[in-house]
Amino acid sequence: MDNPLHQFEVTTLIPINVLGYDISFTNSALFMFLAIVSIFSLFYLGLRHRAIVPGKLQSLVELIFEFAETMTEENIGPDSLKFLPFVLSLFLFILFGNMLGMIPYAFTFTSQIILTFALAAIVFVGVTLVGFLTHGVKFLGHFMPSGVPIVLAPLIVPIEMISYLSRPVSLSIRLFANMMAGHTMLKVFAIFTIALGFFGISTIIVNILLIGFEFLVAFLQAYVFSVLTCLYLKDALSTH
Amino acid sequence: MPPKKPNQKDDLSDFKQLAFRASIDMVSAIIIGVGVGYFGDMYWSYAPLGILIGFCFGAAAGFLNVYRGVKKLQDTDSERL
Repeated sequence: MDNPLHQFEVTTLIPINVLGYDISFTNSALFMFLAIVSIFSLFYLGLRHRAIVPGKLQSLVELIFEFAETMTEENIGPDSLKFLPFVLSLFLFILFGNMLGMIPYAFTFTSQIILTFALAAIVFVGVTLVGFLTHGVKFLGHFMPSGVPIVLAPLIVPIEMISYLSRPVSLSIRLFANMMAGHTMLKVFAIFTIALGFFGISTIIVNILLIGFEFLVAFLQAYVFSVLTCLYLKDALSTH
Repeated sequence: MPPKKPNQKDDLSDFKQLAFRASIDMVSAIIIGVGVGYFGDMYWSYAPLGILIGFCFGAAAGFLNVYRGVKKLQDTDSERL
């Protein structure tokens, strides 16, 4: 019987070694590359004609763009257009990673915590930089909410700081845990199907439902990640 | 347009999402608090004081995270009503 966690194993496809560092081309890297290629080809093919009455592909691209535009506008506010390219690329990369992972035998790179943590760290550093660039040193005032007596500062400031530092952790764990749990569950039910023989039909029905649910989760998690990025950006931009 | 009937199943899945989010918010703050305390202990050999204080602050920050998440949800809910 196969191991349900086998699908998350990173295997080296082309070994590359630079100055003692292992930067091999792995299956994870392959699917990241595929995600980027499919995003670019979707946008290239969709926007090739730039018709006034859009075709199917162009409508799809416009739909995705407008979806991200309203999302950033609703969550960030008037300055949203500056951050649209970042949020849209983040959303598309995660969405395509999740969706490519739904293809049988494909590797889901968003189920690797190192990748989700790297994305969350980019968001965290970016948001902190935006905060400091817009407010200067006053940005540190976010750690001391207005109206709090100064006596409580030694308690409030560390709590606020830990709360702020926990953002990239919760952001990365949320995406990674959702993808890993869903894919493991699919595999476990698939193993039940083989083990039960004829009665495996019942688990096939469960698995069909779960696959539908997984598609929902794949979209929802990409959406949640980008919405939270927008909310953090709004937090950094606002002055209390 | 007729008013939409409240769907119990929708509420339940919303609640599950909320519970999942709240648990991750809570745990991640504790991870950071304990991590800071642990490394503080390694540098200033006051063990196990750092890890204890770190845990307390982390748990407090976790509750703050959960409180803020739920409050945000409540605010959007009351806007919708």
